[in-house]
Amino acid sequence: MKKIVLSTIILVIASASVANAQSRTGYFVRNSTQNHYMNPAFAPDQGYVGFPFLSGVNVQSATNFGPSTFLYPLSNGKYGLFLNGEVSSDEFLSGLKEFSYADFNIGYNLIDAGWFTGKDSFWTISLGMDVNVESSIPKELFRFLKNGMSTDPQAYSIQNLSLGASAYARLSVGYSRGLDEFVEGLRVGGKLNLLAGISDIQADIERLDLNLSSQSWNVKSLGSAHILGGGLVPAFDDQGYIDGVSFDPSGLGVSGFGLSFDLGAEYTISEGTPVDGLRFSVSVTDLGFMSYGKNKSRLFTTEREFMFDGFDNLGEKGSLDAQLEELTDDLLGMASLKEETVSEAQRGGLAATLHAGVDYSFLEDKMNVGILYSARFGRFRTDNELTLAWNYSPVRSFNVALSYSLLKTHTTFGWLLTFVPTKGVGIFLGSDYTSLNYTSLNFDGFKLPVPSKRVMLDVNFGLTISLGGKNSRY
Amino acid sequence: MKSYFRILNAAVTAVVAAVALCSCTSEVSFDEESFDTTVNVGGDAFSLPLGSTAEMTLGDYMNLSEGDVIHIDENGNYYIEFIQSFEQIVSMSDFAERLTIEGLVHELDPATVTVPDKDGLEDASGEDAVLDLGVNEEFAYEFGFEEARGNGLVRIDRLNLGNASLQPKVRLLCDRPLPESLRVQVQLKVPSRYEFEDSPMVDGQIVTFTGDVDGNGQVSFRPLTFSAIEFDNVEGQEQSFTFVDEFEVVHFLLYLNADDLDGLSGSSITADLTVAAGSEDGYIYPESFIGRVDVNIDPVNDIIELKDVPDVLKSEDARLDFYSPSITASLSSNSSVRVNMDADIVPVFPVGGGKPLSLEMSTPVSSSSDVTETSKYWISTDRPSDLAPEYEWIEADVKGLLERIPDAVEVNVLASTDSEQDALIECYEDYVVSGEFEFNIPFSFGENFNLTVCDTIYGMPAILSSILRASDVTLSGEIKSTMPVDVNLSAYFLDSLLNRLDIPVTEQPVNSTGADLSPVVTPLNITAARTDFQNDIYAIVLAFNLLPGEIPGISLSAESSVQADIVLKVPGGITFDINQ
Repeated sequence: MKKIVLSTIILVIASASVANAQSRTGYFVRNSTQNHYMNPAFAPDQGYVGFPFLSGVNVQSATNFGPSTFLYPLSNGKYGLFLNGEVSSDEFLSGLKEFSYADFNIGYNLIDAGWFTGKDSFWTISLGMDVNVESSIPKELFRFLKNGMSTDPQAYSIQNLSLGASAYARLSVGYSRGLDEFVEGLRVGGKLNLLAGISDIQADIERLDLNLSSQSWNVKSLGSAHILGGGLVPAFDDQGYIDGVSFDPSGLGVSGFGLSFDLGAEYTISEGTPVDGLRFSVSVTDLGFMSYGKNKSRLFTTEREFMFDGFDNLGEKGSLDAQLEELTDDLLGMASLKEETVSEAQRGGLAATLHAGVDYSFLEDKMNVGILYSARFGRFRTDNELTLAWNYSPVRSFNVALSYSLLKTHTTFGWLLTFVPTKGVGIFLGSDYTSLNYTSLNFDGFKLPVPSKRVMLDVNFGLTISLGGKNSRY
Repeated sequence: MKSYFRILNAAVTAVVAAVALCSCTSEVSFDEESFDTTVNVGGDAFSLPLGSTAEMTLGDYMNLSEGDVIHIDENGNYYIEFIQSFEQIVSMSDFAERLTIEGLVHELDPATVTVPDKDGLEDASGEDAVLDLGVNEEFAYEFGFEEARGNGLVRIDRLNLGNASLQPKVRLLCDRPLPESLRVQVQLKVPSRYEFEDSPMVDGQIVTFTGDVDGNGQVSFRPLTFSAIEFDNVEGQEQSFTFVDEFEVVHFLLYLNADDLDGLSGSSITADLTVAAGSEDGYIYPESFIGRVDVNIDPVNDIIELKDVPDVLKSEDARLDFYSPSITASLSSNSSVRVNMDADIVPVFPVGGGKPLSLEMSTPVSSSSDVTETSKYWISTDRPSDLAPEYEWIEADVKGLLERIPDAVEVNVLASTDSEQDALIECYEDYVVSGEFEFNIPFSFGENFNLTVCDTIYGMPAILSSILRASDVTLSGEIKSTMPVDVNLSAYFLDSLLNRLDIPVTEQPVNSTGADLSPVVTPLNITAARTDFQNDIYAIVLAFNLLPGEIPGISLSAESSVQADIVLKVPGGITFDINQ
């Protein structure tokens, strides 16, 4: 029992600094003050105001790999990297997807409030900031690192190796309304998001062809990059290629503008039908654009070819060390980017998300089960998730939710405890991805538990102040 | 309410229980004892094309240029050539001294004759009256050359004289004036060995001198040139150099006109007779002689230093097969005496001596001291098929003389005249005996050939040391060779102090080119074994060891070369510790 309590406390403490306003586990919670972020048609039972400075901080990291992907037990009793000779290539590569990713998101809400007007209209307003980091690492890259030249000759074509990051501020105004007078059980909603872009950075190796043989090494590279906005300043060598970047805080500021919309709808089958209480919901969020002016945009490209077939007169021209240094410079030059002229404004990344769910409540609405499909149209890929959720609300103000994700990982479960009184401070605590298996990474005595299979960390926490009122639907 | 809290309790418990299911199934520590930072990159067939070495020609490697010792012929073939000359003087002046003898001077007792009157003459010769002084005397003349024996005189057959003559000296005394018609005749019998000029005075061994008398009673005779003395020798018997010759005064006569008898009759004429042979100072000087001499000539001891020879050709590892080495000797002399020479040629090495080569030669005989004759010799192990006619071939183991190039060559020559041969030796002459040895030694491949050509590649990156400490490394690729013999390729590594590192490396043969000297390609495949060594690798040395050939006599050309295209392979990839 002590272990159980201790584990729970550790998890809570670990998640105390984070909060997630978008919890799939909480999508079907009937009295949630947060699920309107996923579907603007949703509304809680009463108005609320976010707790000052704690209305919502969202830190999320997601990978499709974990420590067990890259760390392996060895015959000497130690752990080793995937590049260790004892780790078989097949075993390592079979644990990778076609594209590995490591995403990191931070969302911070400075202002968050919602209130009812009229009979069934619910307004929301929020002001916050989002920072997103996304990456895409093709499996071919790992195959190259692990296998190297397994045959002579050997060819690799590494495509779409990408890294992107963006930061922007958001001012959202939302409105939802029941349309029972038109269709019984129908509710729609929408949000207008005004976006202020701070920075958008992206680097793509679109194609890296490696042809390696004992006769020659051939490398062709094609890539591009952009820096939109301020904060990151590139440095150039004599030939005009980037040979370094530096962070300049003074360059940070509003550099771009954008607009996005959230649209959503829910339809609950009325009572008196065999499946009354069955609710269908669909929404799309962050549908819009972000634009940076050409004066705030910098574009870079690289398209180079390098061939090395050995040194002539080996050892004759000075030392081999000098010749190898020259070779290394040539190789590194393959990744050098050259600035291009920007003739028009550039578009930054904005990830729209689609939610579609169906849930069914029973036991007098005290319990409901649902299935939610989510698709996030990210910068480099689309994240699909199918979540099974179970909710239990013995009373309207309290809800226990459990979920299980079917697509991203099979070794996690979600949970959410929600307490939203009619008036007073409410709290929600939970996680969409709580791993069942952890690997403890020991750094000089400091142990960090990390999910073994996939590093999916998604913890939700928030404080709200309910303003009273009543949701006429309830 | 109770049920509400029971349900709530159950729900929370369920959630907490679910959380409790979470556990750390494994722990990974990143300390050195728990985490292995060894990685393997590159793959099983990791290959890095290193490139091509420069074409290593023997000419570039040995850095030979035309010089005092090493030469290149018109076909680019190397050969060693050096010349040693000598010159000695064979002086015959000692013989001139030792063969100078005291001349013959024999004074007879005075003879007197009373002049009869005309009627009392018994002897008359036409109008001349002959008065016989009644002298008939034999006397001996002794001389010798024993001192010359010590100077090398072995035998003398003939002594040619210079400025010597035979001449009697007569003085007449009378109390009355001697008539102008008075003539004196002396007849001598000389030893048969003596030779005189061709003269009517000489008849065999009889020499007749006739002279007029001047107012003082002196008789002037025409001297007879004494040209030579012959000596008898018996082959096989040692000659005595002491000689005693018998002379005889056959008669001593006075001739005068019979009419002049009246004035002298009854008077006495006394005659003093001295028989002399020699030059004006009384000595008989030799001009030349025929005989045999045994004269030792000053020995020649020279050392020829072979400079500017690359160390690689002189190293103990280098074994050169001098397939067709030869020595030509040229001996010149203006001596009428053959000079025999014993020459020893000895190679000199830093440690130990070499096997000497002994030669016997002789100079030619010149007919005159004004004429220099030359003999040429070709000294080799095998007679060349195209030997020039002017050369005499001497078989000698010149091949065995040199296995590798020495630091120097000693040439020792002992010479002496041929004491078995008769020769005309001119006294007062200094004969010149000179010789020249020319060594011509082409570098060639043969069963004893062993030479190593190295190419050093400096500035190896540190990663190579890391690789070799963890994995085997293979150098593969191709070797192009125009060497006319097989080559054994090996490699070794040097640290920054150029000390050799103890890293085992396999060796492999490289095929030789064909008769047309076109390049032959051999696959390269040598492996350096994984080794634990202390100092990092700074350089790699590729050693091409030229092997003995099966077909001897293939010349070593400056253009012979090897070149390698090298691929670095690390089977199994490169294993290293990322912490290091």
